[in-house]
Amino acid sequence: MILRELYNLSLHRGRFFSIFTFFALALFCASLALGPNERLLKQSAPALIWILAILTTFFSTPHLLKKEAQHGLLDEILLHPSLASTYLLSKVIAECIFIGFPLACVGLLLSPFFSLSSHEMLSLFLTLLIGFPALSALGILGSLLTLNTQGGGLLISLILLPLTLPLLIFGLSVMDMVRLGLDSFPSFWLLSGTSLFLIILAIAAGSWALSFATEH
Amino acid sequence: MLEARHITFAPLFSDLSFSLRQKETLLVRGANGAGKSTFLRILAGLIRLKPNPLFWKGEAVHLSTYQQNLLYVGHKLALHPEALLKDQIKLWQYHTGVKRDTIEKALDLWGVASLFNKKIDQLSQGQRKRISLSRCQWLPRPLWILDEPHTSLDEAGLKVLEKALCDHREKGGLVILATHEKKPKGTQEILL
Repeated sequence: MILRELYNLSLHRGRFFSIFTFFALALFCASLALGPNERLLKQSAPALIWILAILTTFFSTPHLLKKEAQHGLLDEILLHPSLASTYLLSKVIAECIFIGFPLACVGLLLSPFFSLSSHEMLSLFLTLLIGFPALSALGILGSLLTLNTQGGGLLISLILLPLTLPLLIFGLSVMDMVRLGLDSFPSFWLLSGTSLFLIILAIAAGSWALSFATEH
Repeated sequence: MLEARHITFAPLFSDLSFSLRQKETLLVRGANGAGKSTFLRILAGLIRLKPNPLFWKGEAVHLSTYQQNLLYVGHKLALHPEALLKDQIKLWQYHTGVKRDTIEKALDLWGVASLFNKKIDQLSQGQRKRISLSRCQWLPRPLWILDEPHTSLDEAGLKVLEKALCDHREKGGLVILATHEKKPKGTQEILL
């Protein structure tokens, strides 16, 4: 199932390029807009990168799932003996490899524009890697819940953005700790725990939503 | 082998029952919008009704095991629009574990083997239908549920389909078809 999903996502390579370009351009423009104030850049970089990562994930994944549903590919999944949760988990893993990791890399590459130290850059990279699976799982859940609605993207944001707040808070708290030279491990653990909890929650709810998503 | 008891899906249809044994065919007929596709989706377990109206080999259907006995080809052809045909074959391999050779032979039988390097969404509706229906040959399942398989097929395609249906029945398979075609002798029919 994982191989299938990896192969499936690899067919959208062109779309990923536009996702990363949007992410990179938005970050670059934000760094220019904030001006040369190094302190301001350092303080706002993690929040900007995190918020952009959340929005990019939430606006990229629904389109892919909607396309699969439109062409009957979700029927094929439902007729497969594997559990729905296995399919959703495979999808999350595939998205982490094809979207999450490159997105974190783009964030890492652009962080010098925000005057981040190498330690801060590495921490930001790690927080994005830890948080992305939960963002991806929530994005998939959102797209399953809004599969048969018009303008699902906006609805997904309204339903699921509040759920991403703990990730954002703990992710930024890690960055604050690193910036202030304090022990960041407790915040890292909180971020990891929250991410794991949201993945489990989203996959459980997604499995339920998947069985109804194609009933039309 | 497959029995359906009192299937009701308001407001489309109500209290539909049938019993289908080996080598038998059930035709589901009706006007456009009468609910043929919905009925087939219920039979495939893609729409779940409570209480469960389906019985397979005399026992109430347990979806995950029952669905391993059926091949469903719906209106949506379950083909990846952005894939080349060779990519689609690879996806099928990952999904079903069937060997590439087996799939390629079936595609050859349907006359679409030469389209390996063509993108699915650049193919005609008839070619896509042939590719999707090729599953009948490479995915051996006792129960076929096919939603209007005759539409979009040319004469050659129809011949391949009829032969596939005959061979399947001879081997003891069951067929459920939504169709506007004439009713052949010895087939059951449900009119919606």
